[in-house]
Amino acid sequence: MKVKYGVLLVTALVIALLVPGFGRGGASQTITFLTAPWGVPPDQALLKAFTDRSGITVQVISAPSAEMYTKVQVASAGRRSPADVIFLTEEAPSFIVAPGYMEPLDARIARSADLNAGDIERMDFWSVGGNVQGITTYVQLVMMDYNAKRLGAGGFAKPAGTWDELRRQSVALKQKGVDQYPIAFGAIDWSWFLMALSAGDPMFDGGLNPVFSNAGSPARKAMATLIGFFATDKVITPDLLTKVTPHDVFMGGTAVYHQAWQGSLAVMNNAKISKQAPDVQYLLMPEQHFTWSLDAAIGLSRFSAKKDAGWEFIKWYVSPESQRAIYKAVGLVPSRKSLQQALNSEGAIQGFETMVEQAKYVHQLPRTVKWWGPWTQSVTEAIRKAAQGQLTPDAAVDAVAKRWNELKAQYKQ
Amino acid sequence: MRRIRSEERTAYLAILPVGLLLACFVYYPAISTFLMGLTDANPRVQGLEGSAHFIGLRNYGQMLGSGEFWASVWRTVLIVLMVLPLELAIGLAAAMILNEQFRGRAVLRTIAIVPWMLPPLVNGFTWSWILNGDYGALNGLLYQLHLVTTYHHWLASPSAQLFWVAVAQVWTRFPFAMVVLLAALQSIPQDVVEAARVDGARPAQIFRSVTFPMLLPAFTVALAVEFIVTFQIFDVIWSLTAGGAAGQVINPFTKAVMILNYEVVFRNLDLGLGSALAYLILVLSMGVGYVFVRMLYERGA
Repeated sequence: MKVKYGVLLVTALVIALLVPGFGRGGASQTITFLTAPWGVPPDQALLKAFTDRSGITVQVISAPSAEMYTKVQVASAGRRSPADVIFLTEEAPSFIVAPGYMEPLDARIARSADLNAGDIERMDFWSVGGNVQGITTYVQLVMMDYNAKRLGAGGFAKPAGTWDELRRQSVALKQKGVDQYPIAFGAIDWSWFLMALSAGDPMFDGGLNPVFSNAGSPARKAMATLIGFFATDKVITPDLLTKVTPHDVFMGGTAVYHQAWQGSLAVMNNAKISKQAPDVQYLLMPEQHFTWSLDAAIGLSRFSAKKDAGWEFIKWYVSPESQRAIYKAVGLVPSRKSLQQALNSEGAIQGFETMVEQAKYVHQLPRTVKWWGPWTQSVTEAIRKAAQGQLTPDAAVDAVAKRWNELKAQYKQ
Repeated sequence: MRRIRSEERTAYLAILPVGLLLACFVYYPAISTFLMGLTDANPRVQGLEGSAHFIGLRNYGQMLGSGEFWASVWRTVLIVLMVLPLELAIGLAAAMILNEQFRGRAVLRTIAIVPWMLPPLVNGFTWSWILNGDYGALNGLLYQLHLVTTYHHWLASPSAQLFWVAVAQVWTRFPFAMVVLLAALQSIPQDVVEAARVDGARPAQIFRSVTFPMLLPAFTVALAVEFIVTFQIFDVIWSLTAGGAAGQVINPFTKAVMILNYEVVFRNLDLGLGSALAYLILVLSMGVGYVFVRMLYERGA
């Protein structure tokens, strides 16, 4: 009897050990894709077609971007893969790419003629340490848009050309009762960067020194104007003192001017989800017109055990069909030049001319240095403290310059 | 040499599994964290190939000399000072009501502990919905009662944020104090209360001279536990005011010590500094908790 049970046990063990081995040899594989919510493939039928064709099942893990950085950093520091494929967005260049948590893709790109990498814009941004770390999925200039009809109701025929003019218009719009809070800007780092760059401040010099804190710099004036919007003019809703982005406030019908993105009109002029539709238009950034871009990319975890399958998914994700579906769903402008042209010729991209004009004024911020991510958190903190009267605008600029220098010294870069 | 008796051997064997588990999951991580706190470990700075260096007590010095640390301690203390009296007062009042005999008491007792049963994160999100400036339930209620004419942004100012964090924490935790005090109330001998009543004591006098002194040991337990829980508050702040649902930026105005610790360790990956901070929180928490307990025991005695 004992022998019989022993044979059964050994047989069961052999089957248990061999079956996964057979599985590995087969075509079917499951990979994980860690992404911010807006990176989730929107067209499930298209994703299913990819799975049917390739035998690769994709488990999508959606997380807020900050939680994503934490997950990737903690897992990678322990040399484990947080997911096979990772969506790189916002501060990912600093938090995820710069520390070396992504797999260099140069060899795979060279071997993959079907990727047609020459058609994809701004790949150079994702070349860190001499290697390509991600494939651009969408291009996104940080822009501004406005509700032309409501601006007209305030007696203004065209949008502001300077920040002072924008402030005067906003105060007038408030006084005339067009909108209690005519500006939708968050009390966050992006608002200040956008205002400082557009006013002509380069923010950093070639040696990564913070020139934004120079006496009389446009960035200092931009900080004072931004804080004034919250504290003295009260042209921004107090809700935006704590919210991360101003988009839902604007879509909810509050504000005339809005910190937006390249492609935002597809969302803001969609009457199903936006009370501002259909009157939203882009404006060229005020004064010196400069902005920066917040493109996104997709790449492989350095510690993934399924890199080949992950690469197949990446190629599908940046394919024209997938990018078209993403543009249709969330208005993110595809990184493929051919698709941009096709969409424009179909009349699908709203405000294309302003986008093209704005693209002439791009000043990249040093987002791939390791301390950029931690530093931006201190910028937002300083802005919030200043908006609450706990710091003067000048003290806020000095505090973030000091923090930049401390971090730069700590990271010894 | 004394031989170990068989009962002792059995006792040692019985506690061995627990001892091993404690060693693996409590003492080893605690010692490892302490040692980490003596280094400059930060995988983002050192890179995947680099290693940490021993720097002695420099992390402790850096943290104790940091304005941000003391600001977060002060915020935490403010929250504790708002939460503990309110929580114990509400807990006591609820316990006294639920100690009376009335129909539906069992149902009410169950309902009263629901906030405690819910995860604190759920309570935090519930309160963030209640307090929302655009569509919050509180604004809706006050507007319908004609108590306000325009919607109010309840979480706009830093002091309001701290206040509402305290309110949400009280809501989440008062059932614990209630349960502890209710158990103590039920253990008070009724003949003592009856004797006081026969002697002509009024209800307030009975409460002050009989009931309350007999509740002090239970108060001590509730206070000590709730002090530790509130000093280490995290979930409610995280879901109510830490930075919105996107969780992108940590709100500086409600950055209590545990939120600061999370930021240092998980956002900045400053493992050495974060480990030192964890020990400072432990020391502060134990120190203040010890003083609380001593004071109450002495008064109770």
